[in-house]
Amino acid sequence: MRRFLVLPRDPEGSWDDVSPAEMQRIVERYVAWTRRLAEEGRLEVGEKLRDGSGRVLRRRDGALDAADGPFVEAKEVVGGFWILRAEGLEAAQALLVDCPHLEIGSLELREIDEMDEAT
Amino acid sequence: VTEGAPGVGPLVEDLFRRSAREITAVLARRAGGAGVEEAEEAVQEAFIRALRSWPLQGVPRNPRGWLYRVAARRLTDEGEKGRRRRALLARAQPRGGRCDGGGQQSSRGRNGRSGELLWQEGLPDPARIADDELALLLLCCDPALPRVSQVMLTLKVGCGFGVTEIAAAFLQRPTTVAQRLVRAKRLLRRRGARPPEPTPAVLVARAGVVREALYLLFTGGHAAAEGERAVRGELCGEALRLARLLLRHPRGDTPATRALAALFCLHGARLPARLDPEGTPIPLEHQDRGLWDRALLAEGFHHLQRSSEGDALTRYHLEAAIAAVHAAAPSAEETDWEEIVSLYDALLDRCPAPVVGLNRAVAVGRARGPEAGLNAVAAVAEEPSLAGYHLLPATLGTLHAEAGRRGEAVACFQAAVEQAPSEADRRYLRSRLAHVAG
Repeated sequence: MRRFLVLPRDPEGSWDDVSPAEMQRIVERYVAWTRRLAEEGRLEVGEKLRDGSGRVLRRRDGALDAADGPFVEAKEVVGGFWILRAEGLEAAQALLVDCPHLEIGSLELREIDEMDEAT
Repeated sequence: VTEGAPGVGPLVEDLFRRSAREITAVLARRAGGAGVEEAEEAVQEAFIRALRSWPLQGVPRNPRGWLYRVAARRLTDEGEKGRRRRALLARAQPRGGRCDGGGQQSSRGRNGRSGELLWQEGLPDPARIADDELALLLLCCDPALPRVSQVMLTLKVGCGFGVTEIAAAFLQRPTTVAQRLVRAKRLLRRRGARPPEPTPAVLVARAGVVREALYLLFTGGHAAAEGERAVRGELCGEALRLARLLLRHPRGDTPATRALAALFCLHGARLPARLDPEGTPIPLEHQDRGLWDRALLAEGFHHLQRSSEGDALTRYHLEAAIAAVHAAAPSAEETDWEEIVSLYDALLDRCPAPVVGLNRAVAVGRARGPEAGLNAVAAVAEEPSLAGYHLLPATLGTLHAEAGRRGEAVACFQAAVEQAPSEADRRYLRSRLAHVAG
């Protein structure tokens, strides 16, 4: 089984007009989706990244330059990540077809490049 | 905070709406001076955080407590930010200079600290939440606000409905509702209104306004002639919940409130039988009475009995009594229609509305035959407020049909179909038309 990183990008726009009942429906869809993946042994972990935290580090003229990342004000923020298990890229994509996040934002799917111990 | 593996925690039904109204009520009242708007904003922030973290990290074991903690902390942080900003400004000001917007903001700053204590305490017990919810309800029903604003504000902050849902219930555009809410909150803010303590004086002054707002909320849900869904059970449920809230308070527990609660229960009990599977309204006489909610009927009779203690006789008493006669009857035929007519007479004395006269005419037709019914309709038929009201020709149609005048009946039902405000009502009236014509 290969491992995949899924980066959900938060949607643009505001949540101000979303009613509590609608919020509940959105969360329920996620819960149903993640629960199914967990039951199938597909979901390794999911984590939320702290908002407005973190830095981008660079070495400039020998000195460390730590800047607040471009992610802070970016239009599409990566709010966190999931790590999924699947047979291949196509299989991993198939797991995301009904991910509720696609109704409000986008997903970036990347395969984790495992070190092959044989070589 | 990882309090559960992804997707592990269950999500209780109605968590967000319930949390919205409860946490707003608690914060608006006890984060002192925070005011409804700040409390609402903090709750909204907490909800958005939940939306962004629960899908990834799972639903926390105690979702309500989580939302409450996050909202309360957010209110504290806002208070802290304001305090620091003011401290900076004060330092920047020349001695004796005045800091912009001092009074109101400094009170908010102080409250940041009480807010901090608040979220460490955890979610208060249900009795205290109920007390906060009552205070918020009293705030929403400020007599200085137009009635419809009171009801909309109650729905928004007191019941946790969204702007689009309120707009749908009132057949208005969401922007119109949003503007009305902004104006209402601005007025409350100008009056320095925080949720008032439910003192005897406040309750005596506002209970009547609250009851009228709840009545409008209930009838808006129950009659809901307009719109796609003919019955908005949710609005009825909220009206009953808030009436019970008022009853729980010693000063709110008056004969008029009991009568109102009885009315909500006795009408609400019929809701399960009021629509067919296609959403077409079913009139009382054709309803399957086995579907009526027995527990709600029992509660309604209990409230009605207690409402007769004392001398008060309000329109709620009379309307509840009419509903009780229906509820006690095993069928439409076995209903005590004469009793209903006399209750309508008393109701007309008290509130001479043409629509009450029309309902009375229906009862007269039942009790004394179609010709007597038609005479009773004639007494109100020319009232301007009934012009274009589909139930006027529908009532005439029923009475003409019973009197054997098919032509008149068909014409009346045709008019009723044209005036019907919703597709569901049109469906029902078309079926009556077909029945009469066939």
